[in-house]
Amino acid sequence: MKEKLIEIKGLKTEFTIEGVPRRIIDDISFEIYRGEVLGVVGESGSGKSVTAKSILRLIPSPPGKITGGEILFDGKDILQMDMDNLMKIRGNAISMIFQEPMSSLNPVFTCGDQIKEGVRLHQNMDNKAARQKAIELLKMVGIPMPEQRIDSYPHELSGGMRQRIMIAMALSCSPQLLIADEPTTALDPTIQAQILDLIRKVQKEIGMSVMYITHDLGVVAETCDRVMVMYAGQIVEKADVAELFTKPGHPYTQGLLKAIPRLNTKRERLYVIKGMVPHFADMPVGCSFHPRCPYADARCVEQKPTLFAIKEGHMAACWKIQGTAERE
Amino acid sequence: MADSTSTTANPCGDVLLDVKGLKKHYPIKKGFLKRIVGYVKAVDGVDFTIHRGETFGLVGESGCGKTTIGKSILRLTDATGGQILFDGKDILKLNKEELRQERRHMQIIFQDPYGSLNPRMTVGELIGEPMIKHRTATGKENERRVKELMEICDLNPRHNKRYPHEFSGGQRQRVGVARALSLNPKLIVCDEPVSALDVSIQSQILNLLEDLQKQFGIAFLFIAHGMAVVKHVSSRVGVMYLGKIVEVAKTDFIFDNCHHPYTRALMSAIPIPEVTGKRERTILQGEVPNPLNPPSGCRFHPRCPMVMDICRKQEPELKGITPDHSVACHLTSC
Repeated sequence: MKEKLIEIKGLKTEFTIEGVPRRIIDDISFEIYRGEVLGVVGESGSGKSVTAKSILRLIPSPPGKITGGEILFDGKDILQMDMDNLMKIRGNAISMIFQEPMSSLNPVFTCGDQIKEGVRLHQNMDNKAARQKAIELLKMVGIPMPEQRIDSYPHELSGGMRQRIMIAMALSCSPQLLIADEPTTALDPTIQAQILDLIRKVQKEIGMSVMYITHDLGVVAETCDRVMVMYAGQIVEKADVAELFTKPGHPYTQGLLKAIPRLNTKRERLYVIKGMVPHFADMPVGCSFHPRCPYADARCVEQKPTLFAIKEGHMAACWKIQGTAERE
Repeated sequence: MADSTSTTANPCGDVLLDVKGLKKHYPIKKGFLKRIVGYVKAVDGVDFTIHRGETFGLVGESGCGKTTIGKSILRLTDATGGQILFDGKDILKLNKEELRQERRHMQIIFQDPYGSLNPRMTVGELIGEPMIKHRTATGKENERRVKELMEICDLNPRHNKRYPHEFSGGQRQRVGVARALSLNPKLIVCDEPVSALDVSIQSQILNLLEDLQKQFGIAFLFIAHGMAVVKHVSSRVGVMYLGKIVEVAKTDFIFDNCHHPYTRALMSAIPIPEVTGKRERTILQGEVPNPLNPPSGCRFHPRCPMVMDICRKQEPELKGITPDHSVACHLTSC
């Protein structure tokens, strides 16, 4: 049996917006195993990034607050840790890369300085050793002429290069878990292919786990081992990649897969999921997808479904699926 | 969006837009006297045609000049050279009044539905404005048209007094579409109209555009970096690299049988949302060069996996390999 690296149980995160607390993450539980790539898909506002930030307690407070749940990493609850212990984990055992490589790098320090910072802090290296390590990291992420590029400032590099620097920083302490929050969304397709290739390569090399957040189902199919689909702050489906793409259970996942134009199929009219993602101030009762769901009935309007195991390793939160399975 | 039968039915004579040798060079000025020290050749000699009622897709990475082409066609930026024949008239030679008349027939939809709508105007005013400017519908008639357009674009006509911030991204993009439709244009330039939208909203807008084209016979110049989206909407596609078109063909040809190594790499770089078997990938090394100082010969040669000696010296021309398929590459021309 695979070993769990991190386990999230009943996580709830709230944001106070215009004086009213709104639950953005509503009681989600999942786990990431050692050495696997877990994809997290969902549309904007579904709570993907907030989930990622909650794991490292990076939610700005106020207005945000984690109001419940446990995040067990190596048996210890991150949510109960004091600052000193948390700092030992951040950037060391768990590190993160963000979508916007420009705004996540500090413009007044050289790339080398920023990579060295983490190494010196977590691994007690002196400046010289840290510089050597930084050059090695730059080489690993495929930056040409690392000896010179180490002294460049972020604005001197292209978007793809900056994202490589971010990856080098994130990998500097050989993390056990890398959280990648839409790392290629801002990049061009050919550069995206390079970065995806790089993440896969280093993931295999150092055997880390990756939590890969994206809205691109194509990226998920090519990079991840397991996927969870989020909608309106909840997990609506969890499955292995092959299972999810061949036998999607939840009507939302099915809709998403049918709504994207394909490169390799003949042109036909696209499927449309009617309506739009609900606003956090106006969450439907019952199943949060019911106003857009073609199969919704009275039960979906009244009661919120919970994750139900369709088979081992494949879960979906949908009354219809549960109903069919129970009848059989 | 026009299916392939309707494009083959289109005789070649029915050309709506004919772009010939279009160039746009942005000068770089330096120093106290603002002397020109060089040019960024954003678009450097581009030819293509769009027939009535068809969708021509333009793909390429950021900085390759796709948007500049769109803007030059509407003369939102002045081209440096070349010809843009719209319905037989050279757009670049028109005076102000003639241009105003001609612009009625061509409209644009922008990528960012947040930045392209004036936040101080109601949606009704935004959609009605072009008709007032061009005096095609004023007063009561204008109001009626606005409501009609909102209905066509699946917006609630009773929301015409609302402001853009009260709408979601997808709805704002519908407002942009309604506004572009208001003057019954012959051509709409769609500049990455769905790139900023979520997957479930994307398909709504793409279907809307498809319906409008069928209903009103509008031609689209569809600019995007998402290959799958372009394939879905276009009947013909042009692939751009660094200010040049490197391959033009009917959509099915280009996706099943592309010749240019860049097109091939671009195609294989797109992640496909399927898990059946691994594809062979060509991952390009390096990045798009700076257009200030493009490489000699073929602009793609420093990244090309099949580079030959001639590529470094001589720039390949866009040549037809079949009547519906042209490629600019030494591999196919020799």
